[in-house]
Amino acid sequence: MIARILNLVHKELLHFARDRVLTPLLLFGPLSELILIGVATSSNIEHLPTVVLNQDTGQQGAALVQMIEASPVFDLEQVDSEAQARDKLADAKITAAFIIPEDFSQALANPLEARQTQVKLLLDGADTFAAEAAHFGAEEVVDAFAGLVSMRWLNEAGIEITEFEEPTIRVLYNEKLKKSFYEMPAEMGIMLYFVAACVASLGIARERERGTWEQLLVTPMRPIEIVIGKALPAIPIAYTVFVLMLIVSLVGFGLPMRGSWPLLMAVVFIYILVELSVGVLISSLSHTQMQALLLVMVLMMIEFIFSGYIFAVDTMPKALQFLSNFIPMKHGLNMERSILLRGVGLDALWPDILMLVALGSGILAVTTWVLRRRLD
Amino acid sequence: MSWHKTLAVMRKEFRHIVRDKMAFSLTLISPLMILVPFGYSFLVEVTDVSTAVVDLDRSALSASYLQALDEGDTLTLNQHPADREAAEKLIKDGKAKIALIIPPGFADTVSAGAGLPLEVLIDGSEPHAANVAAVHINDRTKEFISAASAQAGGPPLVAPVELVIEALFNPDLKPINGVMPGMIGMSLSLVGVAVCAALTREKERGTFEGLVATPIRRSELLIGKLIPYVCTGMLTILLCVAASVYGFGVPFRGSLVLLFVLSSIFLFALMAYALLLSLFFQTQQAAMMVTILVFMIPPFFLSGMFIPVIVMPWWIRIESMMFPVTPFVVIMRGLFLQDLGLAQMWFPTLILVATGAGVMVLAILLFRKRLQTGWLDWILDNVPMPAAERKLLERWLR
Repeated sequence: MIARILNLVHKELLHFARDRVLTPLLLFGPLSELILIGVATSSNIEHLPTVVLNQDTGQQGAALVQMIEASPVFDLEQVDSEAQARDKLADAKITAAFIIPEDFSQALANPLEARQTQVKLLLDGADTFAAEAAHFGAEEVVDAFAGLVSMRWLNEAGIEITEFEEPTIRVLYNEKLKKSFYEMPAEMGIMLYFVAACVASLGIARERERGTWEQLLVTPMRPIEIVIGKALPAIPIAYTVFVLMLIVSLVGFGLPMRGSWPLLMAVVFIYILVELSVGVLISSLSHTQMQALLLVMVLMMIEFIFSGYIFAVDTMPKALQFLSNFIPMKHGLNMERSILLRGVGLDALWPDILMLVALGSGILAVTTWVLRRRLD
Repeated sequence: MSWHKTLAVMRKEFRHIVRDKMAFSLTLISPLMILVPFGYSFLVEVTDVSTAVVDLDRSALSASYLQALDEGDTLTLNQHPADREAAEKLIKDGKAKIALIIPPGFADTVSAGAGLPLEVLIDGSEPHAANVAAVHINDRTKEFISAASAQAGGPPLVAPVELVIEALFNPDLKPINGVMPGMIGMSLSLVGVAVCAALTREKERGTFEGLVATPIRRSELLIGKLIPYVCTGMLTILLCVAASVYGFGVPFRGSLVLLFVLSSIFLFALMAYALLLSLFFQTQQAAMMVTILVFMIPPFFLSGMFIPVIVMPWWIRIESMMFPVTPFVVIMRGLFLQDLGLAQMWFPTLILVATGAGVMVLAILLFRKRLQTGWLDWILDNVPMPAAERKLLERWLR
């Protein structure tokens, strides 16, 4: 049986070796993708085009403008009227506009007549992510400014407090909160799914579509052997893709590797096997390449949403959280992030590994059942 | 160019789409299948972030502070490690996303009005939930400090300057309103994938030979092949817009006519790319994989849907403009939320028209109505090169 499968693997590898377009694309397409995404996500959301309308003539308004200008979040310009600021926002020329009221300095001048004054921040709500970043940046600047004012008031009132003790926030494992650090391991996971599922599912669908599937069936091979033989070449391809991506993210983007190398290599191997069995299942269900592609894409979206790539799974409703356990990518991403960034060992990851193994064998069992039913 | 022949090709391609159930659902339904779960996952609010608490102060005040944090659904204070190391271990193993460490002397400092000493540890490897939790903690802490100071007999501590937010177009800053319009362009890219596959299918199945034998000209063939997909694409866009407006409550404030015109320009540009890419492949498998890699994945990050284009390095900004999705995201947001007209959106429109037309011309030039149409063959035929190199290239090709 193994000899027969190996024969087919040899045939498939010949296919890949001879395909001058597909093979380089399979190897370097995901890599260039990863580089693009790494570059796009390594900068924080900063230098947002912003205007300020300072209606105040005193020192305080100028001081606040200076603090906003010093913040990396905003690239500041002055405007003369609120209408001008709103026009620019409406034309999507700027993300945010600060409006400092006329009596700003006056309100802050004397602690005895202290009253709260308001700085207005207009945001372009259409680009919600930029608007959120501007909102947080503005809050930080205004809080710092307010702290300075209260300090001055207290000192003028004769109370000597040199500093407030603020809560300290420490971010573990990703001190600068770089997006690329948590998106790159996730991107690797999705690319591995893509390569493994595409190679496995489209390969078999192509034989079906071209009519060469029947020829394979009349060979002494059993259907499951054919399916395995067609799927196996995806393993070295996907694994090479992974190693290339890993090298680029470690060397090129400074992604830390805090865990154990053998563990990482082993869990990725298991993950590839499981995604491969997903591809095999897709291929056993579809007749044409279009069909297989549709299933690959829809599954990719489902895996993407429930994997914790963009949305935190832990915070979804309980039923969805339970469902997410049956998504291989969720375990794959979790393990990649855990090992690379947090240096987690086998003691905390075994549930993920166990679940992956169970999922893989379950999917393979379903595939054999589907194949048997379809052929009899 | 004869419209008669173009129409004949169109009719053939329409039948392909309608009769092949899979192609039909791929072009018409699957963008919706991507849009709807995606939109849904944006409606899910972050709740029950598992939090580890180390209370080293053990005072009445620290207990009431923790209670204030526990209100609402955002945090679940479900882990109580003994010390900071144990808390860090919980975060490392992924059992807690965020840890609060209340130092000894917490109550004294707060009562003296000298601030609020507290250490917050955040898991930076999965910061989505932790960020929401940090904002929650910040808000509750401000309330708590002013309440505590009022209780101690002092005046309620109010920050002298308050920031008032007014978000135009999207008053509650709902992320779904910003994401859905862009997502429509993203999911429409699937139609581009389908087109590229449909164009390579003829080559792979050998029916291209049949087409070669007809007297049809290449521009007639190409335009006849594309128009049916532009039509189904329009239908899909309308379905997606309806789903966003009625299903997810995203407001549509712009003009429907403009939506119609600009969407067809977008679809045309998308098809032009699909056409150009299809020239490079002989098999559907390669065509699909590459178009997915080009159309589906980079636009997620480069189109400005999640990361504003403005913060990216200039060369990525130029590159992102080459994807038809990027200008379309700007256009769709303008139509949905900002009610912009052509006067304000001339720049993205111009980019769409320019890239679409440029790529279309390039594709028609490179397209050979001949067997073995490949771009390498084209180079072989048209680029002058020394005989030795030509031989090498030929051998590599066959």
